Amino acid sequence: MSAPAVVLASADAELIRLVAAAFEEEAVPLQILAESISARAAAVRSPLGIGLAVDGAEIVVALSTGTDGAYLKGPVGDARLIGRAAARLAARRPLGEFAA
Amino acid sequence: MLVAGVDVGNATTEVALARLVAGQPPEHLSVTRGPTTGAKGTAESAQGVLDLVKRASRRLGEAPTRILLADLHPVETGLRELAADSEEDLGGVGIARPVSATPSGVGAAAGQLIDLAGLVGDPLPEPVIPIVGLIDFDAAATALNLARTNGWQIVAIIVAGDDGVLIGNRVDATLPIVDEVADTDELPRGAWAAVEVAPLGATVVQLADPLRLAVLLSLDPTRARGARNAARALLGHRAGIAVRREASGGATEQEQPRLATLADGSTRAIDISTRPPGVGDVVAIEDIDADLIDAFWAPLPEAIDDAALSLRLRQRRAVGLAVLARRSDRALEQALAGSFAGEVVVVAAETAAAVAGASTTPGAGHAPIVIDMGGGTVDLHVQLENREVAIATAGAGLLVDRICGAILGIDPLRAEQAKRHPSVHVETPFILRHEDGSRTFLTSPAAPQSVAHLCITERQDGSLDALESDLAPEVWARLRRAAKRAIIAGNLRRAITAAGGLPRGELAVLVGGCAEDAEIVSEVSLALADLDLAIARGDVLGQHGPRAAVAVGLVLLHAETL
Repeated sequence: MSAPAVVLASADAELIRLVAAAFEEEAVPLQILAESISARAAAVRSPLGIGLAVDGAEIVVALSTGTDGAYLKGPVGDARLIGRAAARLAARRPLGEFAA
Repeated sequence: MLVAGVDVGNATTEVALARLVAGQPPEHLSVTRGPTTGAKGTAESAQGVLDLVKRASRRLGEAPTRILLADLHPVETGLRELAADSEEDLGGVGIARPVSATPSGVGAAAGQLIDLAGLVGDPLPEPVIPIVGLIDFDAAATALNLARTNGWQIVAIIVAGDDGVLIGNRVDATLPIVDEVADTDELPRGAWAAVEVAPLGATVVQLADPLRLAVLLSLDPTRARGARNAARALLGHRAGIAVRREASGGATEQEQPRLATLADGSTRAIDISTRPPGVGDVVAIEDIDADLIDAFWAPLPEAIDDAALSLRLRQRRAVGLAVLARRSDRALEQALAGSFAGEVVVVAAETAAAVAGASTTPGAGHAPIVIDMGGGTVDLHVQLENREVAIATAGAGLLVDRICGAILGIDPLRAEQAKRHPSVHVETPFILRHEDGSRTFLTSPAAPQSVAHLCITERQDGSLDALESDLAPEVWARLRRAAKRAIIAGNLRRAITAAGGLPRGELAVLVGGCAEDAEIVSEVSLALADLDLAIARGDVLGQHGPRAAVAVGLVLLHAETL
């Protein structure tokens, strides 16, 4: 059985560092896939049903069910904050400033 | 003759259009409702009346020739918090309560506050608590580890950003580290401070105990007693910071409560520990220049079964105050007379009009007891064979809004919605938890800003209104009902006492905006259970529910004079 984790699809080392820091701070497991897939596809691969990926200049958080589009997104430069929101989503905490 | 019965309430204005022919019952044509513009009874409130009359006339294709008004008394409603933290007497101890959900480590420690950049050279002989500003967590951890290697005794860490766990994992996961601390720049470097992080699910113990706090901060026994407020202020929080203030060491000035002067010449402080006297007993209130009919005040409700929340609410010393005053002018009547083409007639007191309107409730016959629960007042009208009494008490729906707004930290307009509609907690994008603990599943995800928040339901567009409050829905529901009970049912009790009691077994009809709120109706019914009354919700003209009793009643009373 897969361990519960949110899936980040990226091979960008700095992006991974920032998103992983957000997940470490929230104590939520993150799994990295060095593949070029959409956030939705990453979410489908996530046992928690939450995935992250970069789409153009944006980092996108998607859910595996209920919606085809982005549940959350923001500029790649805000990867730490978007990562924090995704981790909090998994931990069922208020998402903070990137919830809007 | 087409007439408009107009009820200008503190929150809502209602217009009842009717055609009157002498010797015949009125032909009731419409009831229109809108928000009151300006304060009740002022010239500004005329605009709302004229707009509603215009709207109703347009629908009917005919304008009224007479506006019928009640004799009005306005209510002022407000809320004062006497003890914001900065004003509180903390006995020479500064406090901070970080809001972060993810502090690091567990335990309490005390040391000298020092900037991260100050951890250079020979270490200080005493323990230190470094303050980490908004810098990268890896850089901060490197600097902290180097300082520890050089002999600095780091016993706790205060972090400005959301990096507590990250730094703890790289330095020492057992150290108490509080993060997301606002205004770290204001923490006095060099001062002695204590930091505590409680285990998950627990709250601070050491900082919430005045003697332990005093020991941690090296306060002498005299000042230890003075630190009790600081200790109480930290009670119920997962993490906290306390700083010894060296300069003043004394109490800050507390805001004093207003004084109410009673009819017997005595005074009573308007505070959370005092209760308002009987109806009409307050004759003057400090800083309020008005000819008072009644005054009522209420604190924030107590959170039953949650001592920490109760204490947090109590520490704010928030008091909602409603004041009912006699009008010294006829501003509304004059403003209407200057703008309305027809006549403006003051028909009767609101009380008499409410009884007449409530009596149109099917099955009521003549309603001998009418309880009009509006925005500003709870009015009791008793019309029995041997006595006729009308009591108006200050404080009703708007005061409930103020109290609910203070609990939730929202403005009174938003609180009005929160008061009326059930709340939910959005557990996940697809699961809502309701006030009774039941859960529902959503087929499309809730908006991200609502996740893990208490939300008000029933927005017109179907979306949820996310609140910042961390209250659970069941806790908020209890507080909301308690506020309704204290204000509406409490005021009604005062009115009944002032009226000399009510006959058992008699019919009491509830009207007014608050009577649309099922929770208020049930709270009133429970509060009056000992009186054995038949309490029923009004249905004015059999079609308007408990609304428009005064507006329709004015039409009925005026018809009797033709």
